Amino acid sequence: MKVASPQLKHHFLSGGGEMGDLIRSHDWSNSAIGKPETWPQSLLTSLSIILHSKFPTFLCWGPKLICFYNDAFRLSLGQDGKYPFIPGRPAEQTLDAIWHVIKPLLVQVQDTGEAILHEDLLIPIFKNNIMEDVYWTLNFSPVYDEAGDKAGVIATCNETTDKVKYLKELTSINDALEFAIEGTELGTFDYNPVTNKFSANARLKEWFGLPPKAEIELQHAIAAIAQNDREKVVDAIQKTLNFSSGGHYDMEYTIVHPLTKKETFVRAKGRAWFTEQKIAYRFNGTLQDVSKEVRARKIMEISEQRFLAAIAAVKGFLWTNTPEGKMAGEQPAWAILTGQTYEEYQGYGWANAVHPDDAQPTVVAWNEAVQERKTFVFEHRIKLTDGSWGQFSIRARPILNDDGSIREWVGVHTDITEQKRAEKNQQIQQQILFKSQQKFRLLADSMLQHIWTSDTEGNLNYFNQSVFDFSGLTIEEINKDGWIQIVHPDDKEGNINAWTKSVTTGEPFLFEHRFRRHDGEYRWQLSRAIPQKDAYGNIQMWVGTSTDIEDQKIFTNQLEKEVKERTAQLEQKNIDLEKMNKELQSFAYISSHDLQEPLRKIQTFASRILEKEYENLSDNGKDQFVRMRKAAERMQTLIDDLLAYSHTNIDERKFEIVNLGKIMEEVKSDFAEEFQQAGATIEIGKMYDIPIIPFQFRQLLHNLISNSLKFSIPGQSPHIQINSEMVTDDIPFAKDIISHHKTYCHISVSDNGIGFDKGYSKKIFELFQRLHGREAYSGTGIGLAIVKKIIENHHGFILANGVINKGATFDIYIPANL
Amino acid sequence: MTIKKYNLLLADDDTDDCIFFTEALHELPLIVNLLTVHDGVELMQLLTTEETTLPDILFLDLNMPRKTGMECLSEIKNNNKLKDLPIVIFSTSCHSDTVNLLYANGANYYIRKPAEFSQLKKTIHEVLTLIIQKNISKPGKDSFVIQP
Repeated sequence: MKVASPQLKHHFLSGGGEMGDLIRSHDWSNSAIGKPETWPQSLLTSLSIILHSKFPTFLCWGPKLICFYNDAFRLSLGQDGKYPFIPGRPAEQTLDAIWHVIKPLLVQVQDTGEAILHEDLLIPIFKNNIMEDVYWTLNFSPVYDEAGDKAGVIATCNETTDKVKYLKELTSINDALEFAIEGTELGTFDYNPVTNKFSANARLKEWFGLPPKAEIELQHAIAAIAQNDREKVVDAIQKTLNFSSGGHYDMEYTIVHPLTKKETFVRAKGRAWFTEQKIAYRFNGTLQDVSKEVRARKIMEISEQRFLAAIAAVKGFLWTNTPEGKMAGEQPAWAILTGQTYEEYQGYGWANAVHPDDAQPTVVAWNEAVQERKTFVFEHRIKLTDGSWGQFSIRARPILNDDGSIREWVGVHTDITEQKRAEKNQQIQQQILFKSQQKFRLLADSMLQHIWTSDTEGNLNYFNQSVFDFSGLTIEEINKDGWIQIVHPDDKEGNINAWTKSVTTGEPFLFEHRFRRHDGEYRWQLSRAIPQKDAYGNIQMWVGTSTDIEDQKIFTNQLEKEVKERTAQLEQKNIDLEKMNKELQSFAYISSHDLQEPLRKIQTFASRILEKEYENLSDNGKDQFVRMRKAAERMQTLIDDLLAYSHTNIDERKFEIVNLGKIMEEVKSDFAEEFQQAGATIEIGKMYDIPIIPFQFRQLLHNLISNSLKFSIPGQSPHIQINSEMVTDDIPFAKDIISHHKTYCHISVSDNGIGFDKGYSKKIFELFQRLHGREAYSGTGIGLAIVKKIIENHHGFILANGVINKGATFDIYIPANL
Repeated sequence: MTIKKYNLLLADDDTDDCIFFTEALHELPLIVNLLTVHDGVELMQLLTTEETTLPDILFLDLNMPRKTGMECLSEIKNNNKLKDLPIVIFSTSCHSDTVNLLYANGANYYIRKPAEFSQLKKTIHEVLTLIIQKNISKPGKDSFVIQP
């Protein structure tokens, strides 16, 4: 509707549409805000803004809230824009239908002076002849006049009814979707390939153990996928995001909750969305928990595997037959067993794999089982893939339909080839054992030794012929009263104890006991038994022998007795020897005292006669008297020498390290008179300090020098040379006598006397040995024996060398260290 | 030689030796009284009898029946009344251990019975002279054994 333009020209109202015309044509004379000529500039400006705005806008001015609005606003009010508008009237009247909603807003703006924005505010309005729910987004802004006071309010209005309606519809659709998702227990996801983040519903997050926050990194979700599936899933996602793949995603995988480790097997479906540039910008979809199904499937698989394993374990081959006994369809196990092709085993072709000798009986038995619908049990030979024959045991059962008819036969061929072979082997083994036992008995019976065996309990269960021959008992008699009856009563207890101990501990049995012979005589036996063990060390039996050792025993006893006797003899000899030694010692005493006593008296009486009665003797008597005195003197010397010899024993040794030169000088001075008389000379070389028994060594040198003087060549001055040196190892003629690696002091004493024949070099050291007649050279034959004994006391040795009429040399070797 | 008359006591079971000893004394230019006993028991009875006048010198054989010379020596030396009696051992033995033991037990001299009568005289004379001259003092070890 067009209203004619009034004459009044208000430049601010130029244009402004219908509402502009209405305002311009209105007579404002009686209005609360006066004529337009009097309107403040702020009002004019505001009006100009709203009237030229295409946005529904209204303005309330002045204390009375005089209301103006533009064409756009008028259309919003419905009624085809024919909402009655009377200029100059307050808003309360103009906008009465919505006044209850906008009044508080206007008041608020006027009071606070601040703008208000309301979005999607519901303002029910009478529109198109009905009350409609209309939604508005409203902006109320204050307008200040020239004085800076709040003069009015501009309200910009945008109807959002359609938007709100759509939103409501969308919510409703979402609810339905959610319901569907909930109902089917789906997990949902929405992945943004650009940000690499995705959102998901609570269920999915729960499966993956993801935080409840809105967006999640994809990697966190991937981490919860089972290790085995992870790569597969990542590959599939990559592939889906590739445009050429078509963007469809369909996966099955297992999720492992990172904390509870609960496994969820899911089926994931989704699709990727691509931009025009074929770049994926979204990838969303659902996950369905198919754990139960998968578990059931797995149980089935395991069951199947077990079944097949069980069949394999019994070396079985599974097959099925039609009710008539024909083979139909694939029979993989049979094919493996026989090597028959599909065509070959179809129908009754399978029978060709059966051994010709077994074929007819098999068919007969099979037909019978088919007819009677009973379990088929049979054994026959089957030609195997490699052409050999295997022995099989067959069991087959009919599977019945609901109506009792046979649906099919299920049978298993079990390989019993090895079992059969083992049985045969066992038979052979038993035969071998039997033969071996026969051999053993034959051998055992041919032996003189008693041979017997026992079970693990110690009960004797076999005796060879020798036992019966020896004891004169029969097997019945032994069985009745036991083998122990032949053991000597005194040996029984020990025998039983030893045998029980061996049987208990498994230690070999060894015992000596007497067995009663058939004639009643007991003979000693040495019995031994050793346990026979199996591969695991368990005792299987005992094998024992008893050997007649009577003769040996007698011999041993005899030997023992002889040894005892000989020992006793030896002991007696030792005692005798000791006694003799003591006697010898007492002899030394006797000779020193009792023997000397009468001799001394003879000498004393003789000296008395010589002194007082000698002249009364005839010449012959005088001669005999002198001879008697000489004999007594010789006896005196002999006794003295014997005493010296018997005193030269080891008990008196007391070693001292002494310089030989010192001893030599002492001896030399002892002989001073003799040397002078005989015109003898002595030459003493280098002398060492060595450990010796001084008084014995002095005696030794004394005897040697005495000999040298005694055995000098008449008319020639005796000359004696004495030298010493230290030697190790290199000792002539004595390598086997001395200890090796020991240092010896070699002392040599040589003279220029009458010497002796080489043949006497050993003999001269023997007691009472004399090489010359008493008339020529006096002496008892004890001197060198004493020398030798002294050398022995010093752990040394002495060698004598002589050349007749040239001289004698004595080489003495004494250890240089104790 | 002095005219003093010495009382000598000889303890020896051997009759021959007693005769030799007596004869030797007779041939020596000395005035002596000799009393002889023939075993250790007799000797000790004599010495321990109150009225006995102790001899000036005792010649003691070692090997005597009933009580040996060694035992007698110990008893004498352990008896306060007798311990100062000069004792000359008169024996056949010449074993050094025995000689040492005798010296240690307090014997004054040791005479080994010689085979020559002349030596017997000589040694008896020598020992008497020593004891008389030295007025019964104990000799050193070196001169303990009187060599013929």
